[in-house]
Amino acid sequence: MSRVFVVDDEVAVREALDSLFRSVDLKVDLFASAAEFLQYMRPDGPSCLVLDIRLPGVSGLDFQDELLRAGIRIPIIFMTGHGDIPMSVRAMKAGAIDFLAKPFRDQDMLDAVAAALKRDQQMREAESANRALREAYERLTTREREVMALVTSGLMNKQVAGELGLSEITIKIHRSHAMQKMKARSLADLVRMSESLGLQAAKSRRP
Amino acid sequence: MSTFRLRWWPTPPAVLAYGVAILSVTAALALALLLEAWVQSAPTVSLFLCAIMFVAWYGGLGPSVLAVVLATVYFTLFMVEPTGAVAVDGHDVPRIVLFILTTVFVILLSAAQQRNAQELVRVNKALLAEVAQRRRVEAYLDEAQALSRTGSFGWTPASNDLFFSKECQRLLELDLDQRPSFDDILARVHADDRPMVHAVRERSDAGQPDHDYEIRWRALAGTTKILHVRAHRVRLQSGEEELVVAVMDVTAARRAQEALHATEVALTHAARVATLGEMSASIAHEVNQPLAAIVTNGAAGARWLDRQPPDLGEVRSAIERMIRDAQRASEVVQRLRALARKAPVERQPIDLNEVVGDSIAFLQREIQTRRIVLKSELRPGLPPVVADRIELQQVVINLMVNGMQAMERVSDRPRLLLVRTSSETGSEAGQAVLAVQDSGIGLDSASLTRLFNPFFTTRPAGLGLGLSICRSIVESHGGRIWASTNEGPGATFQVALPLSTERIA
Ligand SMILES: Nc1ncnc2c1ncn2[C@@H]1O[C@H](COP(=O)(O)OP(=O)(O)OP(=O)(O)O)[C@@H](O)[C@H]1O
Ligand SMILES: [Mg+2]
Repeated sequence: MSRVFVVDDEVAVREALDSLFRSVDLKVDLFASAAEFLQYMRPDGPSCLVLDIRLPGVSGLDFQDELLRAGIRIPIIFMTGHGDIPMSVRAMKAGAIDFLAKPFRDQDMLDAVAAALKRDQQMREAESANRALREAYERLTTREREVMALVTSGLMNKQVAGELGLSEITIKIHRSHAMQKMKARSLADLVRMSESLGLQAAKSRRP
Repeated sequence: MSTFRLRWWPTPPAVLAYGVAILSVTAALALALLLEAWVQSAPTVSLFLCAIMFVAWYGGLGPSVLAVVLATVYFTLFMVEPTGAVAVDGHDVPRIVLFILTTVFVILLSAAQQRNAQELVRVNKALLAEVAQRRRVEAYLDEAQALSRTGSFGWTPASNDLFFSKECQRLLELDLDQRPSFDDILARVHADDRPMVHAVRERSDAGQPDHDYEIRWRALAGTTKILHVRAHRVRLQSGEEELVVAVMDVTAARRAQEALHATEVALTHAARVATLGEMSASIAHEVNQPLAAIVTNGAAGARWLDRQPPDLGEVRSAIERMIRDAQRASEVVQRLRALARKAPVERQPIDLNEVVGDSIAFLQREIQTRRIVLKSELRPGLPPVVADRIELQQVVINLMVNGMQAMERVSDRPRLLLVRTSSETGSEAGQAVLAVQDSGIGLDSASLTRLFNPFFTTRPAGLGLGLSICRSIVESHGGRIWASTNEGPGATFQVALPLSTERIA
């Protein structure tokens, strides 16, 4: 279930957004301050943050930085008032999804939230895919990892065999084991996986 | 200047006078002798008497004595037997003596008359001098009245007699040929001021001797003059009562005063608007928040309606929130309008705590964005002060804004703004005291003395008008404003205002 977190010091705005989001069957959590939001244990699942750019105490922008530093990656939609354009630019550079000047059109807000939720979901999927890949990679033997790195760097089996001082047959066996364990359907698949895992760098370190 | 003349010639020189004496008496003798020769009868004595009288009148005492002697000689020589000799018969002596007596009597008479005439001339001269003096005094008075634009008039209520000085005629533009009555005068007084004049008259009739008031007077050109009138009731020796009234044209002074006041009001207003301008961002934000909420609530309500089935409970609460938020927006706008308004000052008993509360509400946003820790200690049950709400609010806002500005660059300690009200006992008894204390940069002794001067400022963007306006507002309310440095960092500004004796309506 998708969730929207609203942080605004203005109770009237919080309550209005609460009603709007619930009317389209979104789950909503309301916070009067950044601190309140940080203390809250977020349930898992796609979510986004609707944040007033001017908050008492800590500003919306500082809060964005704080979240980034704490490794909390959540799409943010900023609500701005009058004359907040310079702030908006800074927030956009820091990866904000959208800016809505108060008062905003409800459809714009819902569109922005939908986009943010979608992005969060994609991020989550990418993250979980990445996690699965890493687990599979960790099950490979040292030899299999070596073979995988060299093969995906573009060397022929024979060249790999020469490199490692093994027979070409042995290389072929290691390679097919690695592909099985990584659930790669083709060599191209394995190359992409090694890219996702950041193995390219390992190869370049070799002279 | 005309002189009263007894004679149409000046006093003749002595030689001429004595000559005239000899000539007249000799002429009288000649005439007598001629008449004697022609008609055998002459009024000799009468002719001599005539001559002597003439000399006495013309020449005075000396020549007339000479005339008498000469006439006596002529008389004895020519009119008494034997003619041509000085010898006199015994029986003629009484005639001669009688003649001499008569002549002496005539001279004395004439001399007495002369003296009277001279006395008359002297008195007349003195009188003329006095008249001249009075004229001069009158001219001075007229001049002085014209210079001081003060006219005066006297009024005898019993006989309804009115007497106006020149300047008064000029001031009031009266046509004295019309013999204006009290009612004519009253008709020229501005209609709104007539009841006041009636009231003054009633008090005067009731025995109050002195009056001092101002009226508006309709000038002939259609303009209005402002006259300051002072009247004093005097009892004349005759027992009659008279009202002596001085009338001063104070139009120019009043106009200047009004212009000054208008400038002050405009300045106060401008400063208020400038304050609003400085805070326009936070004000805009404060109006914008409820507006944003209203728009969103409206959209949400529509969506709840569109659901199948519609959720009317949600629709209702969305509408209720819209009403609440719209009210809040309108309150913000009203507060703004009140501060930006250009209304005449209106004094009434008001609650100082309420004014402080309004000011805090007004500055709420500013307080938040500047990260100010606001504390207010408002004495409950504070008796009301008589003041103009907006002006007082301007004072509170100015002091709070100054305090916040003084803490702008403070980062090593809390930015503490304390607003306190109290009703003093002791030396400040009967006063409400407002204190605004900050933990800012504080005041040095050099600026302490100049703080309240117009245009004194240490802020680059400051006008230096805030405190000077505060002072003029506070003083016009009969109060006092002062600044002091804190024990710790920062400054405290205090305002004392007299408490009202009335309760708040
Ligand atoms: N609370 C305070 N603490 C320290 N200094 C103050 C304080 N209040 C006023 N001052 C000093 O007094 C000066 C005059 O204040 P005032 O309010 O009259 O003018 P201003 O604030 O400079 O300009 P403005 O006309 O915009 O109010 C300020 O510039 C500042 O130097
Ligand atoms: Mg000021």
